[in-house]
Amino acid sequence: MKTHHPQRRSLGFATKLFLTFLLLLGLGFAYLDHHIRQQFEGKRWAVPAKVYARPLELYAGSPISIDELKIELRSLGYHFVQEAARPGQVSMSKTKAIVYTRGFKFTDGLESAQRLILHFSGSRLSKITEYQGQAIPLVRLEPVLIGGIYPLNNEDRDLIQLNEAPEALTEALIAIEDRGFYDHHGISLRGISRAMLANIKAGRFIQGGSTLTQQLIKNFYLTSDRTLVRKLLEIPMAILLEFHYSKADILEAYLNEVYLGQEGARAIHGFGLAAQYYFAQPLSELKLEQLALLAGLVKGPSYYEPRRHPERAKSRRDLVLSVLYEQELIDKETYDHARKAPLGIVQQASLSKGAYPAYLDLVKRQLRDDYPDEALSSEGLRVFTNLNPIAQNKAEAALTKTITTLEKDHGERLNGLQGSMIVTDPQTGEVIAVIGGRETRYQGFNRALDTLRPIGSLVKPAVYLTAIEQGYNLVSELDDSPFSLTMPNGQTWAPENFDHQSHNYVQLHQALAHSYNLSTARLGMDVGLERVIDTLQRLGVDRPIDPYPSLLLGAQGLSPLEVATMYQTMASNGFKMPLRAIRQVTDNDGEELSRYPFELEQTIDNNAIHLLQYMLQEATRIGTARSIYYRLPDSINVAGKTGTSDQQRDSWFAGFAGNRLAVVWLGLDDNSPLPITGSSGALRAWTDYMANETLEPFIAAAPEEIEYLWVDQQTGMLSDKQCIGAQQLPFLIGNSPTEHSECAIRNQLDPLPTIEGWIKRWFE
Amino acid sequence: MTVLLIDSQLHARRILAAALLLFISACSTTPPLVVAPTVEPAPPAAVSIPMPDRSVIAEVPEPVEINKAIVPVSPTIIETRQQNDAVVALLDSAEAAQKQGDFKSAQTTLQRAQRIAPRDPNVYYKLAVTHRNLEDYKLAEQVALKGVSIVQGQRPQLRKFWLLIADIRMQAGNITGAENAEKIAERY
Repeated sequence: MKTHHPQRRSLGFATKLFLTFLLLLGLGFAYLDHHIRQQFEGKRWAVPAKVYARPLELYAGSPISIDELKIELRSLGYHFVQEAARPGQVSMSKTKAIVYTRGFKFTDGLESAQRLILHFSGSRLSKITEYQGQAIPLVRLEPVLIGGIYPLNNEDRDLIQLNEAPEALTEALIAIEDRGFYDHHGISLRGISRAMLANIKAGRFIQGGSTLTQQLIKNFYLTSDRTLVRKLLEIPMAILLEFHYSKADILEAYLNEVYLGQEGARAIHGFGLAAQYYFAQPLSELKLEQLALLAGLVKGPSYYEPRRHPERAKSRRDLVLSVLYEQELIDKETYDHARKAPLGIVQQASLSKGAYPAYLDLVKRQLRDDYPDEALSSEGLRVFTNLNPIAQNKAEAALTKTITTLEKDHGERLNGLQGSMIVTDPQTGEVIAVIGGRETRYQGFNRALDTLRPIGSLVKPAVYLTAIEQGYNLVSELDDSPFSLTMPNGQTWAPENFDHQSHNYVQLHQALAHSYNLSTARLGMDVGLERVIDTLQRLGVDRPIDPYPSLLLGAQGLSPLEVATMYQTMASNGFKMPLRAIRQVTDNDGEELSRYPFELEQTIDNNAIHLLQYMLQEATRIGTARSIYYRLPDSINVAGKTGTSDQQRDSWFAGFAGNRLAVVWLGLDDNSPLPITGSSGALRAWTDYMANETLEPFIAAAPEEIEYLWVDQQTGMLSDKQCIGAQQLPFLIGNSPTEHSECAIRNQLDPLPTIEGWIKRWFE
Repeated sequence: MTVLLIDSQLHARRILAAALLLFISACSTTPPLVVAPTVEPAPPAAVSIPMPDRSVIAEVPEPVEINKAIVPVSPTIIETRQQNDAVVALLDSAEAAQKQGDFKSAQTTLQRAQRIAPRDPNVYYKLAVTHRNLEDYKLAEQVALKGVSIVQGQRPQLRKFWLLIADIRMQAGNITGAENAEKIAERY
């Protein structure tokens, strides 16, 4: 009996051990099972927010030329073909385009995919019809994706659903990676043995035995750790996953999860994004050979990187194609055709993504007031902005061209000249374009938002507006003689005119048009610094401003964005409006989360702003900005102001037409003096930009209480239309000059004869 | 002095021209070819200004002959003549949304219309009504005031906008403001 004891004990021990093992195994399985289900079902990929440009609105009369449409369609990755037969294709002649749109789900309605015929006439779209000829009043193209807001691990992806994946892709994927996908239960012994056999035959490692399910597990749950334990876990997890979920669920997850490339720090995940990254086209529009390449990349995205290793990529693609052919998934003709096709990789991942870092920067700043960073980088938000890529490209061309020309003209003194620019819609306050520096794609210091440079004469409209509000009129006489002021700190302030001359007595409107410093400074002291500051704030400048007299000539530093806000108020008849980069934010499914509506507040009186607008137009017609009309046609009214800071360290121009407002700053980062002024620098870029835009004239109806009177340019006295040197100027009724010029008096006493009057008199 | 001299020369030239004209018209039956200078201001001409929606008529005073205007004189009225089909479509769909009580959608649509035709008073009128319905009275009033600044000189439109402002102020509980707005509306 005793002898049996140890055996029984050991058997008992073994049984216990075994039971414990089973228990642990069961617990382990239960844990794994729970873990897998929880993760898979709750799996929310960290999807970075997508940022879109404004959708292009097409309607008869819309200001777009056929070349501009071409730019837009290129950014959208349209195929230029002989005959547009599928969404995402376009065919073009000189004045006509047939566009097959892809459609887009906007929050306020679905824009369905349709074939359009667009007729152009010069810089406008003249007619738009359906393919069958029915006229269409209005169509929106899908918006261009301009960037994303990435999480810390820099994973980027475009989620797709299984039904959005072309069949050729899933077929190729299964054929090359896991032939038995639809038959196995997570692991494939046949797959493993076949792989081993193939590897032995080839004498090297050419196939892995992992099923797609195992690969998904690896990517999904086991992250980057490659320990033995993890490797062992892969098999039971794959089986469990298969046990709970359908092949379709697993395949869809795989398509979105798989790693397919690297752009700098950004990791390209999923086929949806890979299609954009390699071909700049949506996955659904890719051709067989392109899909085959993507399927082939799974094995080694960096080894087969088609931009760096096109030959490796091509042979990998051709291998995938040959497998498809061998398995009779494609016929001989298709196979031969696909094999002959070039890789078709676009040089740049996207023409638009990452192209507008300065604008994106503004978008992020405006978003961060409402959304935490994590929401932005992981919840797949869609951010619809006001960026107009066409206008942005024109502004970039104008700014960089001007900078290069100026550098050439001035040599070393302008080496490294920098610039920035903001363009807005003066009617709505929407920000259309932002340039942060001469390297427009450089994602660094954003001069449009972050440089605070003295604004020089750009401040003057605030001084003159204050004066008008206090009862000055356009012909009020100003003293332009030199003066000096002892400041509280004992320093002397002695401003000078740009030409170092005094102009004695000048009329108010002339002093602004010609940007005289002495008369402006005197005027500002008369109306009061605090009042000028109040005006600046009503114009939209938020930051605290110190009441130093030098403020009157623009010693205050502002960013181009702040200057744009100020001039926006002037352009929009005294309505202050926040400059908006964002229209709307929605969630991944297109449900609206927040909107940024047209907001405004009247802060400047209608009459006063009308008088100021007149003076700013005078500045562009005969004042310091008159060179504008060498380029712009007479019929385009524009208004604006040049600005040159003290010692010419900054060259500014701010101005507007009816449909565009732009602010340009030029200067050196080290703040050295420039050999250029506002007129000879920034204004050139401004004019060059405006000359390339389809402009509407700035036009504002005269308010009821404003009358236009003829006055003598020399004396400011009331004059007559028939008198030499008379000019029509606006006045607030009841605040016009009272004295008449000699000529006006004579004409009143002895008016020039009409024919009838003359005949009558003849016979009297 | 120079000015005076030129001026009197001019005067003399005109008399001469008129005399010549009289002479010609006395001798011939054909209408005179020489145009005498006008002294009385001509009635304002209706000029259409190229606008995105091609819907605008502006009344501008007669162009000046002797003194070329430095800055074009502002028109007293900028009137909407005809609406762009795109804007009509958008206004209609905003109206439909409005009727269904979907004010947010109406707002989105109206802002689309505003981008296309930023001078169309209907856009601002409807947008102001939308904000009023959304009970954002402050913004509703400002949008209506923007409308006022756009319809300068058009009396019926001004009346319409000021009545809307009166209504918005009334709903916001600003009785005095509403009365003031009504008084302004009565002027038109």
